[in-house]
Amino acid sequence: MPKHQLDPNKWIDSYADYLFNYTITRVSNRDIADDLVQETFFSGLKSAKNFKGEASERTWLVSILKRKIIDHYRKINSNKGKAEVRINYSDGESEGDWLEERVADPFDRNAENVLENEELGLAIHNCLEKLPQKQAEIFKMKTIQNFDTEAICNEFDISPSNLWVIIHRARTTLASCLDDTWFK
Amino acid sequence: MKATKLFIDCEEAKHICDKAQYNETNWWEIFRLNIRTLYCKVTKTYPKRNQKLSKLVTDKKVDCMEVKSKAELKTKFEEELKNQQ
Repeated sequence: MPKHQLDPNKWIDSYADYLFNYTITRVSNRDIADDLVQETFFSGLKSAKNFKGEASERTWLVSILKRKIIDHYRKINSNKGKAEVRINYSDGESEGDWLEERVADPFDRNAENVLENEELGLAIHNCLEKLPQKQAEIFKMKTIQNFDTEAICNEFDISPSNLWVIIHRARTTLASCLDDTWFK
Repeated sequence: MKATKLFIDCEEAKHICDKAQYNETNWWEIFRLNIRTLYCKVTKTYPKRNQKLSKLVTDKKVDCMEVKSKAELKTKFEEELKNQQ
């Protein structure tokens, strides 16, 4: 019997944000990220019969998404045609050996920071998935998307004091989850 | 009256602290929270943890799909699901 089973009815609520966060760090364009996530879900649905149940639903969807992202870049590169590389000093007064100056700086931690941010982003989404759906949605709207308290209360038909109770529970659970998974 | 009470309990302090993460507090609430943190260890540790979480979520650019985009995606996907069944 397979370890995991697919339940497409829950895909959007459970994985859309995780997949979006995964994509936006790689394509840096919200519209393209939206499209790629949508294509991933539709492809997943089409190829559901190929799911063997060895990996979790999310891992399987991420593997489809990875292929979509690669295809996206392939398409861009084939549209660009022959690549042209220009290397110039940014200002005309600079002197020196431009090639040596462009060797990777061992103290440049930018790539590592980007990677760490991405991993942390995914860790936060992992913890968000553990929250009850309504709690997670409200936390995301309030904290990540910066919606007004009033707008969220109207959307979910709750009172402001209910909202703050939900936010408090979400924050407490998230902090504990991150303590266990990220800071350990 | 509750709003004018100088000494607040731990639960109210946590509530104010949560609101402070979203800049939805006034000076009086912050003042009362600060008074509470002077003598309550539990209250003192909660803001630290809370600020750490806020910093993580905002600094590390955790992103998620716009509510409208997600709703549109959900509608399209549900239609596709119906067609498949």
